[in-house]
Amino acid sequence: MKATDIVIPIFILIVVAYALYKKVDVFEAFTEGARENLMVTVNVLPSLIALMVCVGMLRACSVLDVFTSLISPVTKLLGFPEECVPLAVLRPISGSGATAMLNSILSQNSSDSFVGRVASVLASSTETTFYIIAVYYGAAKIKGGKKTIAAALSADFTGFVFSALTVRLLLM
Amino acid sequence: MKYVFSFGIIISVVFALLSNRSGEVTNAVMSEGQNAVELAIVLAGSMAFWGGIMKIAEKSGLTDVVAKLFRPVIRLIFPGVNPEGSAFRAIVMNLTANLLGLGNAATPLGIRAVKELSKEENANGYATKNIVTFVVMNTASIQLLPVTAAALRLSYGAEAPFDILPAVLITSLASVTVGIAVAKALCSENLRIYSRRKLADESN
Repeated sequence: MKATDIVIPIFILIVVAYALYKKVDVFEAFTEGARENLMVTVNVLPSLIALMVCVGMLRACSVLDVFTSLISPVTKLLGFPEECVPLAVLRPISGSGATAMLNSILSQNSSDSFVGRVASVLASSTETTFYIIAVYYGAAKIKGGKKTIAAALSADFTGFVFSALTVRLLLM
Repeated sequence: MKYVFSFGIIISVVFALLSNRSGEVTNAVMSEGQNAVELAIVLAGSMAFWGGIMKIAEKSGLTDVVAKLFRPVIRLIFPGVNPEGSAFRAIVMNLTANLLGLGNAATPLGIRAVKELSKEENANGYATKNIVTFVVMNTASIQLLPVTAAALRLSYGAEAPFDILPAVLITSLASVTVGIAVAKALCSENLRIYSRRKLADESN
């Protein structure tokens, strides 16, 4: 944990020090960048609302649970732990939901157990796919995205398979 | 994305009616919009801060230095992108931010990269091969340190919370590689349609 505490302050230090060396008005540059990013946040908001409402509805109607129990027999055959299937289904859809699910998996299985480790690796190996596609394409006004979703989901799926594989081969 | 959104809503409502969860779904509809705004407010400060830092880095030329370092790799993954252009720079900054786990810096940079790529490639709202590849790289995590998972494992008493690091790195590498490969494979035939469209635009 020490490493990550140092990385961010040092990164900031390097940026600011280099800028001073190059005689850049640090304060003005900062406010300009901050202002730009605030605009980005505002522009992102519509896509974000759409996505969160959609995700909230999906989670509320428990269709994800049914989907999970449907594919469980298949995942069992592949050696993928059953307890991690809800996490795998949720991870591309909701980042905070995935973190909450990881927390719940770790509270019920030891962090060093197979299940605990696969869940940790899985949660760290992919981002919230639909959120990124919705937000990036929404803000940049790109239409479509079927190919993007297909490619992104193949990446996510590879991540799931490999998380079970690498934990089994490297750590257990 | 429009299909995902519409399907998501339709499936949710149908399912809710079937499983008698319409109350929960109604709650979700009413509250998620508010949650989104609250989330945006929470994130706005962090995004603004990193935007400021990144602007400083940009103005001082630091990002150009980093871009030069990554140039060969980026040119390999994103053929046809001008190495001196703003799209290239935004891509480098976004990928660097992702590597360092700075999600709130990465998102605005990612949006800028997509916008710049779209402009540079005259894409007109169409998702070109480079745009798809870039977005897929963002959806597959390339973060070097699994900070969140390690923090949770530590809180549950793991002695070596980062011992999953090799597994995470290999898995991330595998998923990014597959993502890029699929993106390029799916988009290859479109280069014909896309360039036909570009020729049509140019002759107008």
